[in-house]
Amino acid sequence: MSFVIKEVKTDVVVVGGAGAGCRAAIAAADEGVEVVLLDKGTAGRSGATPCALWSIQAPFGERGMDSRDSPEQMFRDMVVGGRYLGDQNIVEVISHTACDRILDLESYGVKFKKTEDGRFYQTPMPGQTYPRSCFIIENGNALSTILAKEASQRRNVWIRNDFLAFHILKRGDRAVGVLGLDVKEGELEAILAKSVVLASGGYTSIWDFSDNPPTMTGDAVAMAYNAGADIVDLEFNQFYGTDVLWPPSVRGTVVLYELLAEPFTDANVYNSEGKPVFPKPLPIRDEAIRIMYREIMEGRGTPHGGLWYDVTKSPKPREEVRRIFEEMTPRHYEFIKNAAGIDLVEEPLEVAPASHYQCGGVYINEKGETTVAGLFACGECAGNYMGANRLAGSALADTQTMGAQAGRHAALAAKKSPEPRVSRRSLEEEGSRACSLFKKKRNPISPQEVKEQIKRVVGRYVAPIRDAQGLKTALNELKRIKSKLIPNMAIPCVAKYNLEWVDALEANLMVETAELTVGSALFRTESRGHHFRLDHPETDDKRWLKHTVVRMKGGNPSYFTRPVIYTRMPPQGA
Amino acid sequence: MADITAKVFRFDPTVDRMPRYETYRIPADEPMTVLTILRYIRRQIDPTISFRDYICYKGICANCMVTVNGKPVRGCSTRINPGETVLVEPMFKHPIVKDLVVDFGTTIKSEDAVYTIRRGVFIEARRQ
Repeated sequence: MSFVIKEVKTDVVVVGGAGAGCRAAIAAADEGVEVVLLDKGTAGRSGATPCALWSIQAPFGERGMDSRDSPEQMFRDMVVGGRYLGDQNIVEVISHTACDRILDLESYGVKFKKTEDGRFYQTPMPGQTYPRSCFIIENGNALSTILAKEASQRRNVWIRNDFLAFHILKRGDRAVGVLGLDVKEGELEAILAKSVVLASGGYTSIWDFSDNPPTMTGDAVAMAYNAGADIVDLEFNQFYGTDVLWPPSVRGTVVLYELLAEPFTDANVYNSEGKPVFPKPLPIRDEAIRIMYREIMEGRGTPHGGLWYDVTKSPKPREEVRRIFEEMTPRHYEFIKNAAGIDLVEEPLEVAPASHYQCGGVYINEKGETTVAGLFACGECAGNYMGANRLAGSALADTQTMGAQAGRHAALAAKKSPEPRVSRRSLEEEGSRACSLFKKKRNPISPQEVKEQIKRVVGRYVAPIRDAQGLKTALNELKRIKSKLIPNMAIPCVAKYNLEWVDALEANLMVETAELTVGSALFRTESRGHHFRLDHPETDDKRWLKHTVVRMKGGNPSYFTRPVIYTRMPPQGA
Repeated sequence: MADITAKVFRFDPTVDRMPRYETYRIPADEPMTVLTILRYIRRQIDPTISFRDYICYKGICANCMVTVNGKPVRGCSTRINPGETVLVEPMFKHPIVKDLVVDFGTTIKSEDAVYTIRRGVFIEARRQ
């Protein structure tokens, strides 16, 4: 099959059109440079941001619910919550600019819940010393659509929807753009840029059970790794305990664990023997997840391998329970009713821990620079600031603070950079690889099948509780998929919006990210935050108060550690 | 168990002169959402079908909007019962990219738009 690769030139290219990507594009555009924003779907309706609930944390102090709160307190909470594994140069930026970025959001038209005298209404979330989670009206969906609109109104931003970037172009040691597929047209296109900003989110959907969109395939991690960048802390995989497992029409929908607490429904999750699994007061999230996981693994699970989220046994009157769901999560409650015909106030639901957020990702500094010149990252795809655990409300705060930071610095760097150029030959090499999928194969396999196999392996072995034996099995399985299945992926000869082509390109990136994740989990022989090793259950501050870093060396991943950056709050005894 | 019958609008502007309606039978013993039906078709029957998948899982983001039996709905939260026949078409007023995928970023204002579905357009195809 012959193919043509179009070339487009710009100053800054941003990959990803959700919270972080749109904010980066706005910041870069405000520096006066030309920006191209790429999104696999439709910017503003894509990525994990539309899935987010209402919580974005910022230390408003007197302008919020508690005058004692301050950026310094938020900094401390994030450092402690991250088990001293977040780089403090970055945590400083997040905690000290969060309020300003929320005020930016307000100026773009995002609405926040306010008190009668005009202060920010904030709710307390676990790990916050003072109530710090501002309440976005209409949730993350409002945030992402308004940000996308704001970006699109800037004359120097060109939004390209349905564009899947799958490869970072380099000239020498420098990133000079991305190669991608214009999915709508079925054409390959190179976007040459002086700076490249990765903002395409985490890799939650390399697990078979996730509450994130299926598009979260870890593209940024794999692309950055292939471009020679350092990747950090991939083993800190945050799960959410109570996501709907069955029926399939609502699989992956979050039902709030927090609503089982005494002030709300005072209900519980039950195993197949009808016994409640949680003590009261409710354990913190990562502990709760391990309790659930153990119940399921020890054979006390439901027919589909979950547990029963059952508020019908709540001691409170049914109407009160109903009101709680209608007030706290009206959309989810309605959605489960509409899509599954289940009223969760009237009948139990099968739930299980699902992949929810990734603390690790591309290694960056406080400007959002990666270890590759010209390459920046922000949002969930970047890695070393959440540490081993993420506090509620941090994910959205981070998209805005580090998004703005990375976008601005990418623009400043672009102003000093030469015109991006790339050799035609390297373009064609990558292009022909992407097009070889159309060739006839002796043992053709569907990319959907390949993706399913990757997800099954990751879901089974990179679970909330993992051990060396399982992780080694996973590594072998992934190597088999990489060598035997990936080369045999075959796709139908359709140009426009060929979902199989998209799946195949994503599968290439997924298997890479999966392998690095398993490798990182195997490398860290301790337990901390969201990484729990059955064979190394203790936290080992002597050896492991460090980042896990992986970098490509001679075509293979090489794992090593790197010290955490402590600016003003070193761990005690370190 | 009674099959769900889905008549789905298919149109690839690069090769087709006119759209067509393909009929698929999906085994079902309980209600399925439009999106789970479309996913089943792509996985089990025809991988060339194009549609926009889940994003938010909450019935909010509207990425999966399609027209079902003439009405715009969210594919993720619209249930079809076993035994029912359902007509699935792309969202109107937006240019069709392929099959059920439209370009949400563009709204078509003129009546003479070629690749869109609107009252009066593609009527002959629907009568087939």
